[in-house]
Amino acid sequence: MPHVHKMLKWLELAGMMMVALIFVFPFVWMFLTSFKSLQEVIQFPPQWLPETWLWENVVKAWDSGPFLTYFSNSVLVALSILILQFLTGVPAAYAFARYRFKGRNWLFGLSLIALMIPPQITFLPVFLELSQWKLINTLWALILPYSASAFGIFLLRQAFMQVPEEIVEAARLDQASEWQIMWNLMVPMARPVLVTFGLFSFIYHWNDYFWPLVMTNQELVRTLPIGIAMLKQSEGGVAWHIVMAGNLILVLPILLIFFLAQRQIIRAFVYSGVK
Amino acid sequence: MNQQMSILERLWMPVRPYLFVLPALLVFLAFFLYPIGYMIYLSFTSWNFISPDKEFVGIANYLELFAEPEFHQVLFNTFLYTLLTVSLSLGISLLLALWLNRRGSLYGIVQGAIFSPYIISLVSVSLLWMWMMDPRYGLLNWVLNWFGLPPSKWLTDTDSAIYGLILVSVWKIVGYNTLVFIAGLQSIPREIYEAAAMDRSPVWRTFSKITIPMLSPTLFFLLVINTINSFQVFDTVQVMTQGGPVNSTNMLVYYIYENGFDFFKIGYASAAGVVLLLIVGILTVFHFLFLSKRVHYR
Amino acid sequence: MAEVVLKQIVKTFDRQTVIQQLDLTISNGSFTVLVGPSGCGKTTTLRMIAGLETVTEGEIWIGDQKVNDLPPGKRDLAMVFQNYALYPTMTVKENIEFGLKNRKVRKEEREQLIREIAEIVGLSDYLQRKPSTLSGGQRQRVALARAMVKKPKVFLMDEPLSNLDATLRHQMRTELIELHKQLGATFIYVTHDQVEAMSMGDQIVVMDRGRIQQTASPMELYQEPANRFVARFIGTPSMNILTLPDLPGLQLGIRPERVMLIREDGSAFSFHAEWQRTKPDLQRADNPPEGISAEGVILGREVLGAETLYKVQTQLGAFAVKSHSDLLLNQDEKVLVRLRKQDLYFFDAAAGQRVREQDAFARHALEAILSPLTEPAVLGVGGR
Repeated sequence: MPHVHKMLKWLELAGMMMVALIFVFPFVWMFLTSFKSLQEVIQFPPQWLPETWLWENVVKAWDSGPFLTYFSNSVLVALSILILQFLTGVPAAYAFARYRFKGRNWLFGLSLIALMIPPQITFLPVFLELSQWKLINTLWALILPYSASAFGIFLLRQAFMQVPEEIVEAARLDQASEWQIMWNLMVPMARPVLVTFGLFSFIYHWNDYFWPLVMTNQELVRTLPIGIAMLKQSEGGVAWHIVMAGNLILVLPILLIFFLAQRQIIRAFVYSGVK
Repeated sequence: MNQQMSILERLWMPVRPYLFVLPALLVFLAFFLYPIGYMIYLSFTSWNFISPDKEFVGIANYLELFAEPEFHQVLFNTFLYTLLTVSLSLGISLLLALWLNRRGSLYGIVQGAIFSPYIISLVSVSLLWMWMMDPRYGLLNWVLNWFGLPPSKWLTDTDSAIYGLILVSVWKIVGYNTLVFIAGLQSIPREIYEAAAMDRSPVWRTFSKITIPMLSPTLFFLLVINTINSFQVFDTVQVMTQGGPVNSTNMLVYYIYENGFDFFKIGYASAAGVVLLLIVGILTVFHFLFLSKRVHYR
Repeated sequence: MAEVVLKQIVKTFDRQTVIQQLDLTISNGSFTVLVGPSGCGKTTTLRMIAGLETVTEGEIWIGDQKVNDLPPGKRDLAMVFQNYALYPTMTVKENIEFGLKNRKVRKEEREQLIREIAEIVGLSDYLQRKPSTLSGGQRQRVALARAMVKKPKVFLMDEPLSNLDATLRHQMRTELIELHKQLGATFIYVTHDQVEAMSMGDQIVVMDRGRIQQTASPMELYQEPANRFVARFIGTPSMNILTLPDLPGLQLGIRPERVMLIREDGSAFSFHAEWQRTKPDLQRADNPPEGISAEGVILGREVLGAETLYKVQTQLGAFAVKSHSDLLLNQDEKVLVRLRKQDLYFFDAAAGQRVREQDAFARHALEAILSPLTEPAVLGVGGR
């Protein structure tokens, strides 16, 4: 009996390795490909490790287009969105959580509807709207439509509702203004939720391909995902080593954040979805 | 002095909540709600984006849409893609969740590993899998070969291309679904299982009478979310196949994009957009009904 | 000066009236306790004084200023909450400092004040800690310090000790009384615990169902309750209330510690100090005190150490009796129960209002149930 038990244990371990491999190995493959030569890429059966590690592939990819612009656009857009969502979201969530006013539920329902409407439905009319405002091919087209997040308001509202009323009353007795109560008291108390939402928002907009693709057609305002995708078209056919090297630039920051804050990120994506 | 301030405050207080929610609501109004109305309006016009007038054409766009065999193909593709992606990813995730729902660092590492594709950009994932699906030098054909199977043409064949896309999206979302399932499993009180064990319930009965019913809210949530997301598939199509070969992977959002941005058939594209809106709308209503039910639970 | 005056206060929530026409004067420097069962309106009253609830009708004056429309921060008062309501993201020092900063007190002055207050409440070593790392008692002190540092004219406290364990609660009670003496400010204190009220307050306001039942000093409250509610609310166990068929419309009340139990063999048992002194009276056949006698049976007892509580069944009804004797009566033992006339309270049976002795005698056939309380030789000799 103990033998059977041990066997099962080993079998389970092997199974888990197998599963992990299926999900992780593609990334490893991407990494290995990035440092191969073209000769090594077009080999079948494939060669596992590069003979010499060609670090210059990454430089080649980077130099094949205005990648510095793409990169800084990506950072600028993702961070601007984050800051704006924070600035619009905190007062709205505070009002929805702590004030009673006419039409509150109605307005909150309106926000929830916004939460449910995906950009894949609205992109065409929004594009037309933004082109009327002459904002197409500016970074505003990437930032403005996301400058408020219904999801963020929803999460923050929950957090603000959990703050005991007495703490707010104590602050009122301490002559704190509503503005102070909101920013100096409630916001620090909602820190875990803010971190969760911040990670979610940054990763989402860093990764976003669809919206920048639709709203821009000039290099100057493009973001990294577009740049990487265009690498495939410009390098063409089989230059997979260059494409994968470019891909590394896009993937590594996110993987790095994931290693550093795995628990928070999983909570950000999974638990906020369930609740 | 005090009296004055309180007059000012009295004027300010009733408007304050509205001012607080105003910026966010303006954004929602300008970029979510108004565009929906605008799109519905456009779907009844004919417009090429360049000419100054929009011609009102009634339901002509819809008639054209539903008469168009290409659109039938697109709808069929979208439904097939959604059906297979959702059922496969949910099935695999449920099995993985039941297996991996344990404490211990090893299980945590495996959970993290299968989740990692979910937070990676779809562009990266698409390019990566395109490379692995390369018909001549790709890793996947080597794997098939290793198992003694004939090589596939993957994305370059009308018969297999859509399954390639399905494979990629399943690979990407399985980790998310698994962790949501695990969260659902962990919210089932341990005492119920202990009580079942005391009642000598066999494993399969515990599973079918306790685990599945208790997990059904999670299952329903994932079903709706995955279905809505699958209907909006775009990035993989755009990067990996551009809808080809011969429209075999053309799906709704890409079709709208193509018609709007490549062919400038704004009214026609809007009509297709309204069809997508209806599909997502119905699913969302389901979701809301479900949410309100959950609220009753608490 | 900070006299707090409530004039004809009415408070309604969603058309439900919770405070009805409340008039109350809290004199400067007093320690006033609002006490009553939960839902009696005591906390609402306190919160209206604080400005955390609006007043539906009536006026609130603090000193010579009508404060109805003044925001809470401007009323020159501080409040200590039941769950302390400390700001969790701030250190102890920042918690204490927050109100000062908002009042634009200069930095050197703030530092000075915080140092003083921390010294007084014994928190000097904890100023850099977060509230979550402190014990319940320490949090309580932070809450107190936060209130004290503003040097308000009025302190409001909403059940501040109810989250502490018994020992700490006793200790804090004494400290609060000390503090009140030191500061000389007006304290308004809300509690549901009548023992706490009696031991701390110099003026006690007993409330029930949104109305003030009585405002008095602790001793007056005990000795001269205005009505049945106050009589039963103050003192443990509660006052015994007897309804006698011979006396329609009237109820008799007697405190458990005033009931005398006499054993079958004639030895007296339950001694209040005063009974000890009157015992010789009983033996004087010429002028015995008047009262009520009844035969009874011990239904049960609770030995508390310093005192013993009995439940006694008589033909008058069931009695709670508190005895300080070390000797114990047993279950089912027969006893003689004696109540002195001077220990009796009279209440209107319907309204619950206190009926003064002379009115009670004027209106009811009380003499019929009273008899001279002579020392019985054996059980059954006395009584009616």
